[in-house]
Amino acid sequence: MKRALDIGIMTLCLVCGAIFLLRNAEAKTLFPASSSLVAPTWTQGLLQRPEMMQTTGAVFLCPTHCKAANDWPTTSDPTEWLKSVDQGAAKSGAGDRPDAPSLIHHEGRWIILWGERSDRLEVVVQGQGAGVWPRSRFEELYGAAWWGPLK
Amino acid sequence: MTYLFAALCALPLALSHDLGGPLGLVALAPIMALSRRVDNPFAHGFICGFVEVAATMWGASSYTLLIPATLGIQAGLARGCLAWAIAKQRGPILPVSVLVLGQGLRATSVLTLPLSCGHDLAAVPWLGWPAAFGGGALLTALCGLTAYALSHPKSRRAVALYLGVLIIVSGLHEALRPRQGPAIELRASIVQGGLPNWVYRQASVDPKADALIRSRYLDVAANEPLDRLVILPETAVRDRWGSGSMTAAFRAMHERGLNLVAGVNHHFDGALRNSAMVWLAGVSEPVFQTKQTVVPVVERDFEAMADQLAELPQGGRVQICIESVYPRYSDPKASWLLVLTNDAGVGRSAPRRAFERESRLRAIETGRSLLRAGQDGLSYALSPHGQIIAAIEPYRAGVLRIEKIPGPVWSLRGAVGDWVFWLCWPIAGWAWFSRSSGREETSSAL
Repeated sequence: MKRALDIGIMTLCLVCGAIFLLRNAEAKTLFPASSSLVAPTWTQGLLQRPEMMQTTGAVFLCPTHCKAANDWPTTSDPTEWLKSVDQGAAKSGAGDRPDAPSLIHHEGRWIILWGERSDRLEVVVQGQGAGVWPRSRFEELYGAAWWGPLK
Repeated sequence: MTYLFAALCALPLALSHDLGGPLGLVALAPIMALSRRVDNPFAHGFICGFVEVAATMWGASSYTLLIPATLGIQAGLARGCLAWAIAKQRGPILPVSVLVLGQGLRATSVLTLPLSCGHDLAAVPWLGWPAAFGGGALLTALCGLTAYALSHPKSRRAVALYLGVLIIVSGLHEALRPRQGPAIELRASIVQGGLPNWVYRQASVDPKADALIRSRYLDVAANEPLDRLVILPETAVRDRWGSGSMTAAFRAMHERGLNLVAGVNHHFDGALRNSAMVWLAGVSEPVFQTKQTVVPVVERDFEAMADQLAELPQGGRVQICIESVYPRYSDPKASWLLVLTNDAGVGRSAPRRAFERESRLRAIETGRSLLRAGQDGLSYALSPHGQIIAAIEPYRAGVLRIEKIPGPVWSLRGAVGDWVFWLCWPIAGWAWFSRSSGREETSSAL
């Protein structure tokens, strides 16, 4: 009798669990914001909408009047490029940990770390475009050369 | 095998936190039944509580692992103590008072979370009304007693007596409590953007997302008629106050004559503060009320500060997001309450529904009408009895226009505080030290 009762209770608990799962199946789904703003997807570790792939450093930092600037620095010293995108105030940063907003040279590519938030990094990555990284990737950037602050 | 059973016992509790309503009355019965016939009841209760919170919080992924783990351990301790009290077999008084104490302690600070089957009852007004008499603590006690009666058949007569007394006294309180004022003429417009959280998360590097946020909030608010109180949720537009287009837009609205309440990020007194900006027509500069408590880890960009409380029209008070989850931030002297929240931050997961239910409980406990402005819902107006007067569908953009809300109603919970929780301390002590009742029956439960 007790065994039958136990099986009955466990079955009821499992039914509750199944209903809970069904109700929360979409808990982590990224829904579109509107008909013209589709949901982002993960692309090589970067969460972004497809059209954000086109974003370059120059377009992001100086969208209106820097048409002649290169998309990204072409040498390891970005001082001239920073001036060309209206960021002449940015200087070589001190310390291992880059301060956002900054331009970072990491593993052969340029990264703009625009925002460091509690759960994410807002970035523009050379070759990948703009998007959001998980915050856990921040430590990868420690020790990289960086320039800031950007405005 | 029994430990697996303990984990399964968490599933009705998790579903209760998700659904709300009458399931809360019986959701504790499986763990109560199990607790009386296992060798280590505390460990079984701990597993149940931990799984209960882990499952409930599962969908809120941005809360990282640290917060669910901390909350899970707290829930484990609370349920472990409940299981231990059940196993003592001294009748319903000890476990139910331990249940209420555990629940009350979990409603004390931001490092805790009052996920409670008692609070789940507030989803349904006809179940939540005893909270006006004894608060969430009384609802929790009612759930504990009902589940105890289910799991301990021989105690049903005694439990029915306790339940009957509580319900009759609560009913008398409900019937006799006086109104404290007439209906409040409040011409308010709550703007709900209806945007998912990813839009806010990437707006600073995604100009289209940023533009959509501004159009859903600032453009819509600017088109509201001049005689209204326009309410925007917590940090809908995430610029810092003081410069930029958001501040300019709010200044323009104010110059037109709009009354404004909006959640904004405001850097002052040396730190970034998550604030409510209250800017009434005819007042030259806005008043800021800072969030008095912030969520650890998730809100690491902000610092809390207990400073001045902003006065809303007609004697209202504002609470910012997580403050509405903890009863002590609801001012019973206010004539109505306003909650600004960014609940889009927890996606479409169970915690957002549990958090929203806390607003209903605050309305019932304080006997005050309550307006809630969420980024993508629920945005609504509640009566002092926790009934939804008007609402916008969740996950949709829109404006909820309110003309009048019911006036305040006296409540014992609002007047004297959390008296059921404090009363449970001596009751638990008495039940623990009292040997007169002896051990109860050990026959099978449920």
